[in-house]
Amino acid sequence: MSENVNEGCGEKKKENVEELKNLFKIPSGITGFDDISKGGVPNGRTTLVSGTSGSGKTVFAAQFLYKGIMEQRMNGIFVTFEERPIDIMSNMKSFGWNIKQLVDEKKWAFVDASPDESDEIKVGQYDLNGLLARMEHVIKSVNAKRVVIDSVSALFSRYEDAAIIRRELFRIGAKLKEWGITAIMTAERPVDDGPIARFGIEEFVSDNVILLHNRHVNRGYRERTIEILKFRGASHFMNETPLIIGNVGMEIFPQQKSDLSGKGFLTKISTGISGLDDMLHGGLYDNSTTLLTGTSGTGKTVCMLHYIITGAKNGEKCILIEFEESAEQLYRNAKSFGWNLKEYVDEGDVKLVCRYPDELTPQEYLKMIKDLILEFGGAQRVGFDSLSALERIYEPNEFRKYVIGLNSFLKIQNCTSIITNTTNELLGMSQLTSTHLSTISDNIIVLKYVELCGQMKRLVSVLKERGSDHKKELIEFNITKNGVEILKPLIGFEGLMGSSARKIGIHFDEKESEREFLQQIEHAES
Amino acid sequence: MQQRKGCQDEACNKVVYYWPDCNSQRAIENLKKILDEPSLDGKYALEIIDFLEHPHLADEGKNIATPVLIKKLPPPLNKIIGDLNNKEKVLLGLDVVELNEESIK
Repeated sequence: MSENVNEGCGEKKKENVEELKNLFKIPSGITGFDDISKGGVPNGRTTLVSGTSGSGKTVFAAQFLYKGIMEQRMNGIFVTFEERPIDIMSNMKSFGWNIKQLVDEKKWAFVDASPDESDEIKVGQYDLNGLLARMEHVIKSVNAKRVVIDSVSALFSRYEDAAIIRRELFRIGAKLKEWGITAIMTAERPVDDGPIARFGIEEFVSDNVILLHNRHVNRGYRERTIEILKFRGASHFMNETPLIIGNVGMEIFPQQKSDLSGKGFLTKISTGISGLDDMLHGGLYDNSTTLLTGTSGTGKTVCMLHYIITGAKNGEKCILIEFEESAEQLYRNAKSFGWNLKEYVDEGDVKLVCRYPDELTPQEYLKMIKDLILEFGGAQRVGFDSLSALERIYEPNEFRKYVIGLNSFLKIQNCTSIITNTTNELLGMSQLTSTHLSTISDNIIVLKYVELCGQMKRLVSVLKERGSDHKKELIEFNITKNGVEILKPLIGFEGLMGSSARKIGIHFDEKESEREFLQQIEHAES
Repeated sequence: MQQRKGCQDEACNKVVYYWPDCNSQRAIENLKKILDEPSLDGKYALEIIDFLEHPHLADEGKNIATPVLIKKLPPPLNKIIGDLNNKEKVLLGLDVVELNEESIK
């Protein structure tokens, strides 16, 4: 009993420490950023956001202010050295942010230091006390807790004396700290892999540095990523994380959640193919990810249709994302097996998305899928047909990152998903996938062709089913007018998974499983 | 040195925005000496504004650097930033003198 009490205290203490830690960071307002930064932006400090032109610095900064006002009730000021306030307001309107209204409500204020037409001549010593006076005045007038300075690089190019500007910015940083302001300062990098920023800016705001990237990855694709270079005295994720700037602002997609959440497996759901359910000892676990791999023509899309149609019949929410066939083609194919897919789609039970793989970037696909699932209010069944279509377009590493991100999102949303993958070899099988997807999938089902007695036969095998027993046999199946029909195990052959199958000389009852057969041999030996 | 005609015809309106510190003190002292220049002939109006007391006035001209001497008349508007330690440059900025390379050096 007393032990329990002690334990309870310990937990409470832990919580307090945790709380204290969190006090050092405040929500950034940028979706996903608080995950990679483990809490948000360092509170009461200045963070440098640096990136090349077009990497999203101003959006990051404006979103930080906007969401701060809308979600945290922390007013903010925007000091602009580049764009005019009116341009910023109209640009940000495309994200649905009504900054004008916030300005009218005295929650958001600008310090307009954008260049004007008048000439400036420098004669002797000067400083930026004018800026500081204006900032102080505006901060007081809206009771600001957040400040954005965009961008300091422009300041350097306007006043050539970098030493003076560095000194002045350092003073401004110190003042902001004194006032307890959390600030974002943006800076421009000349090249993506070069120094953090021009003019040695990182020297005076070196505590916290975030880098934004917008770079070419492959065949004309650009990818946006964000990277936390350092948060002094605080932990954060190290990797570059994909981000997109969409119609609601900036969103960041952490590849891995800090914990592998997801409800865990409780119940099983049917694949829609009774024979396959038997092989899986009752079906697929809820909230699992299944990799369905096989050569082209082995029946992956038919299996997928079984899965989706069964879900729709049970009144479950289903999403099918198709990269290889058009909607009309799919409707026709489904019809040939007696399923009215179109009806389910029209009634809204099934969401069908048919896209060319190279229409969007991986991040945009991730976002599309995420939005789709959230709009749909969750989904029980999700199908991707096929991921290999994407693999052709993206580089292996990038592709892998994308799939891991997708998988973790599906787990969090409690979706049960099937992902199809096309292998190259017609007969043999040297690897399941070319991108090591097998480790992230809970279940692996292989469909393949085998040449037997002068015939091409299809066979199916369950290679892996996490948390459950499953049949180990290689089982023949056919595609009939009713869809996939699982036949008998192909026993009495070996080399079925390779490229040359042959009959082995032992005859036994075909109804017995292979395991029993092996037990018999063992028994005979002993 | 040549005088600009406009400056003789109408009162030159100059504004100094400052922050009460050394740079600004020096700028005012320097400016007063410069304005004693015979070529100006006393035809000017000078207004000195403290940024700390009137920060909103700084907003109007988008000023950030201090001290700043603003020449409003005759147009165009010119801004001269700094403690005004070079008389020739200041007079040039005020459009009182024509460009003379040697004097700038």
